[in-house]
Amino acid sequence: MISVRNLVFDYPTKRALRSVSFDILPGTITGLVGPNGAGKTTLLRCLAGLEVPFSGAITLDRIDVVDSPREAHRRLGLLQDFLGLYDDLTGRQSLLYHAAAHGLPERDRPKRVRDTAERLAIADRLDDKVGTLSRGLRQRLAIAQAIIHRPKVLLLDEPAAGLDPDARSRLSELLRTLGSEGMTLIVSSHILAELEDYTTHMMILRNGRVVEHCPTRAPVGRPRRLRVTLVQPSPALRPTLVSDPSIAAIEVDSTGLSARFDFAGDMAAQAQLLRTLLDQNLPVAALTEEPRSMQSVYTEKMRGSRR
Amino acid sequence: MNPEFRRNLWLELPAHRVVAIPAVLVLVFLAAWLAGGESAVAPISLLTTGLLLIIWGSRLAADSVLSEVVARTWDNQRMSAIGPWDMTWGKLFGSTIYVWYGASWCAFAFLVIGDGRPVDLARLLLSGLEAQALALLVSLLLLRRGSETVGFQVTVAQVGAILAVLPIQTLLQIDPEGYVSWYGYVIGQARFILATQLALLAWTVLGAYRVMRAELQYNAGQVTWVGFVVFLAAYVAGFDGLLMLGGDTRLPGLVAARLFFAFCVAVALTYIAAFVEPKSLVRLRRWVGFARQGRVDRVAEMVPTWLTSGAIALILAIATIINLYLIGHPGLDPLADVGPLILAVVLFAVRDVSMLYYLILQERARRAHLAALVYLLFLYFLAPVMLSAADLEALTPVFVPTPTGPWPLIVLPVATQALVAFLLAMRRWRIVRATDFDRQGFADYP
Repeated sequence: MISVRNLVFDYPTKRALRSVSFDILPGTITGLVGPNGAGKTTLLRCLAGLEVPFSGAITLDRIDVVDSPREAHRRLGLLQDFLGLYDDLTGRQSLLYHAAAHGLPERDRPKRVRDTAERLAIADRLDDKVGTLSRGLRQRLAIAQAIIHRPKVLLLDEPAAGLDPDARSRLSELLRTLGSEGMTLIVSSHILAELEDYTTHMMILRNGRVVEHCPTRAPVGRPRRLRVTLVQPSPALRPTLVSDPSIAAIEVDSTGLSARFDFAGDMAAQAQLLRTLLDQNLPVAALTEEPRSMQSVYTEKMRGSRR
Repeated sequence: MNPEFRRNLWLELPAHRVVAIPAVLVLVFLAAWLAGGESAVAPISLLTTGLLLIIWGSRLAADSVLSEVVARTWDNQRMSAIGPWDMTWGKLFGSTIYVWYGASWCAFAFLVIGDGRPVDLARLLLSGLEAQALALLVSLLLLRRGSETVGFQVTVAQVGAILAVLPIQTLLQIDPEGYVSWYGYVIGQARFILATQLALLAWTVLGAYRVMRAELQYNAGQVTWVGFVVFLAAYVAGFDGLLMLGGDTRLPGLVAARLFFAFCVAVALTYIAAFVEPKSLVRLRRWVGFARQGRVDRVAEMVPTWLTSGAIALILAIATIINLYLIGHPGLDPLADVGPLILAVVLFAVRDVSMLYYLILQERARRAHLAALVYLLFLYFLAPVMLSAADLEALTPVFVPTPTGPWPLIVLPVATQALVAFLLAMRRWRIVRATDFDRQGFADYP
């Protein structure tokens, strides 16, 4: 869906993006993370065709974004952290304006506005002035504006900033729904725990470089990280784990009550491992898969990129 | 309906405002009628129209795009499917719809109650539209240059538009029955000014459209600018009165004289373009990068407009000399009398544009344009005054182009200055290009 090759972007005294290359598959939700000044917003603005890079290529749904930004805009929605709303218009007027501005035929606009508002759960507030809406409602209205022309790609820059926990939860749910409907999303955020709720991929930027771009869940065939927890410590735990050829990178904690390890087997092999542990009379309380925390991957990669 | 125009209607014409302005205006006209009878209504309605359309309208037009930038809605508009023409007229007429609504009440009072001439009202309406279009154009140009705060940009655009329009109104007041001699044709001044106003309005709207194209990421090209330079050069060169300047009776009737004035206009527009054109280190790097890659389309697209008008100026300069050679004129030597002056003007332009780029290519170049303006004011105005005070008028050609005097004094000092300024600008270009990214550890600059 999106292909970026050797993207270079300069500010007058700083190179913001340095030979950035990546591919984004359709229907995925990519969390774009990195420290302040890493180039996240610049990258999103380049993808949106709002900034012209120094060099490199961006292809979006087979459209060359650098050469034909206007073509790309038809397939794109962008939500920036400052929302970009007209406070003196009503929600309905805002959506009608954006529907018209994106070239929707006049006869289709009222229905599209109604459908989009219902999808974002703001239909009952459409006749309120935008300036009177809460931050959460403004956020949803801004997303409604960005998707009213049904773009294939939605770019969001810090969408959860300033939202209360309830509004954040609703936002996560909405983004998951959009992703499940086939829209490709790129979400820039500092809140990794929240991104974990709905992203399928993570891209880490540092100093204008992509230092990691990976799925947030381990793909089939890749080792999973498992954790075994005992009721009481047992010296037989480590030898038992070491004897299994599917197991690697074992870490037994200092209390001896739990161990984490990479496990290359499938679910049947995992059941067999549990049987083996019980056969060794180990007091197993749980054998669970450890989700690959975005925070841990992020920390690990940032450390690696500093070296 | 144009979505941008409709959005402005929603914002600018809510019910309470629709009622408010006629209520206020009726009170104003009533007060005028009570104070001075019917004869007082016409001037008051004209004055109110001028205030609404020129003063307030130019503010609204200047603010129409810049307020979007402040509200952070401009990016959404840039990403919409609204084309540059719809965006231009949607903003121009949409943002000012309220003052036009107010002006329509004034026009009603002027035509129905007052006893003024409809043509005066028509000219004022035209000036109002010109001021608004000019304010929009200047605000767009400043936005693209992006080196000032938005509040300053709005004020500059508004004041610039008002200052550009007021002289036309003043001219009409001074001598409405006068005549203009243009390319040998004698035309009534009022009619000539009306035609000039219409032509300038068309060019202003076209200019706003061209800058809007660039802002909305269409290829803006050079055609509009080239057209405007040619138009203005031909327009100014047509004034027969110019040929009588200084009482030089040799000039009237000379095509070369008209070409020379056209050359001066092209040089002046080169200066204006050099100051107005968006320019930055990044833009320059991209342009040079495209040139190295041999991407002719991109290079042509990004050619600075000052370079285009500079090229036109050069063509006109050469045409002036050739014309003098071919046609000849008693007592006028093309090389000795006109050549040094034309060469000096070109060299001064090279010096000044080089100096501007020298200042722009600094790391902190926020006030580079202002600094360049101050230097130019010193060089062109203060320095000659100081020379005159010190009885050194003979050295004036060092600071300003001079038509009389020995050619080495007219040409050599400015040639030296131009060379030094050019070398300094090139040196700075090489320094910033080589050091900026090295300092940050970026060694892979393409």
